[in-house]
Amino acid sequence: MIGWARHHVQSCAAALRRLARAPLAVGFNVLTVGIALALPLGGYLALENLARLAAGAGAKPQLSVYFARDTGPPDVDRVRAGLEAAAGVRAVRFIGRDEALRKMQQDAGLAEILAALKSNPLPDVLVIDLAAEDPAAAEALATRIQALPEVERVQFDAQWARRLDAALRVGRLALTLLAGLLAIGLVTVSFNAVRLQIVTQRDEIELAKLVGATDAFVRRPFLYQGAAIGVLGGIAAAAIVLGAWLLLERELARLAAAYGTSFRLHGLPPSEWAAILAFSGIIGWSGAYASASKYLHAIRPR
Amino acid sequence: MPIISCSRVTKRYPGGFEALRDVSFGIEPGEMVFLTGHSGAGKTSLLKLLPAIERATAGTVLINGQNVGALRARAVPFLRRTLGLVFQEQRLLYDRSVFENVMLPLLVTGHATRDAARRARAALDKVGLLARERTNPITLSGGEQQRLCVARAVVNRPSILIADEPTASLDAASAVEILEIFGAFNQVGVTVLIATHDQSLVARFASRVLRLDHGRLAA
Repeated sequence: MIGWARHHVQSCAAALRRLARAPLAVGFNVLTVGIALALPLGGYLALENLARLAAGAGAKPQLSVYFARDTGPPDVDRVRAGLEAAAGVRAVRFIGRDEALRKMQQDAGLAEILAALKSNPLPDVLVIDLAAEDPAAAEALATRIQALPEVERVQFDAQWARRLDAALRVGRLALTLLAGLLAIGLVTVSFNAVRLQIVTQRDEIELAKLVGATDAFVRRPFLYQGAAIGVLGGIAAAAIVLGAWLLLERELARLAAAYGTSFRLHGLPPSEWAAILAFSGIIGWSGAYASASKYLHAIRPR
Repeated sequence: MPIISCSRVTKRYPGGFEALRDVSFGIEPGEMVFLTGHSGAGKTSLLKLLPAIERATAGTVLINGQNVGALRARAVPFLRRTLGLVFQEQRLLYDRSVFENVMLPLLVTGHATRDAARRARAALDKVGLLARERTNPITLSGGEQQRLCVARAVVNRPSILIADEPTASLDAASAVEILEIFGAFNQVGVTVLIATHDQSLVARFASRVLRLDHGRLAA
């Protein structure tokens, strides 16, 4: 047992030494893995940030109820009272047509247009804050309000967030597929790297088998080599993504400032970075395992 | 009971060439035996049957009572650990030091590093190469390289030492030196089997001789 553990340490050290001995070849392999992983990783980060944005905007689902122009204040009050009593409604805010017009006139660009109008074109509006984030319930409520004769139109303000959410779902699926395909590609990178290493170490492998090495013993350093290529590739991918990020973040902040909001990119928690490195390590290990199983078996001392 | 025993062993290679035919003999523990014969007589073929590098086509090979021909692939490494092998082609690794070459069999068996280093130095000392432990084997002379092979073969303290033409590429003095090292191991109880075509060397030792002639054991 101790001997077994010792050999794991020795194999790992030997694998790393071998990698260090061929820095250029290893560097290219690592870079290949890194670039290929950076693609889905960057996509994932972008999607996560978009999703966060969508969640922030859609956190307060609202219904905007636009009354028909000829609705009088008593009807509005009646509808308002009814809605305040309805289930799932947290608050109802009234924006009168005169108040809305006043607000719009404060905007320099709109004031000119509004001045050209003879009468106030705006309707009375009720803004309803919904209690739950249940889209189906909100939808049902909207349908019910829409049926009222006084109501011209109901706008479900969380709708765009839901559309974005659906789009994000498609994006995530596409990314998963991409990551899956690239993972298979990366398995072959590790497979070939290990195959080459096995060929160059043929003499040593034969000798080890002659002095009583088991197949597992011979295979172990190659598995570590594959895993190391994977993990180093994962680190390279993280570096690439972080580099791109730093470049983007400043420009995004500037863009957000131009729109009068602030925007910050959100990174991944350490556990997810660790998971990504583990994933890339497993990819490298699998390629190495396939390669070692295939080619080591073929090496028999003569 | 013999430690190595072959009974009615035949080895036929794919293609039909018969390297060994109906070979039977036994070697007792602690014996030193020479295997002689002309080139192509089947010496190497016979020696390759012992560590299961090749398997006999017919007949049985027993080592320590274990039927080598019937061993499963998984069990073969453990058989080989009981044998010390000196190969015709030396199989030294030139990307590492003399010391590391001797260490390899101990790494394979998972010895504690300190204990392994001590054993490796002891083996190198026995063949007179301790002073060269840090050098690369490529810098050693032919005789020294062969001695290094012997050190690597005995470092695991095998009960059986098997050497295939260990003196083939050596001058007479170095050859005698190598055989004397084998003799010294035999003195301490190791069973030794040496294949050689050099009759003059065999004559210097009062050991039993098995002579192969076209794959058959000659009396």
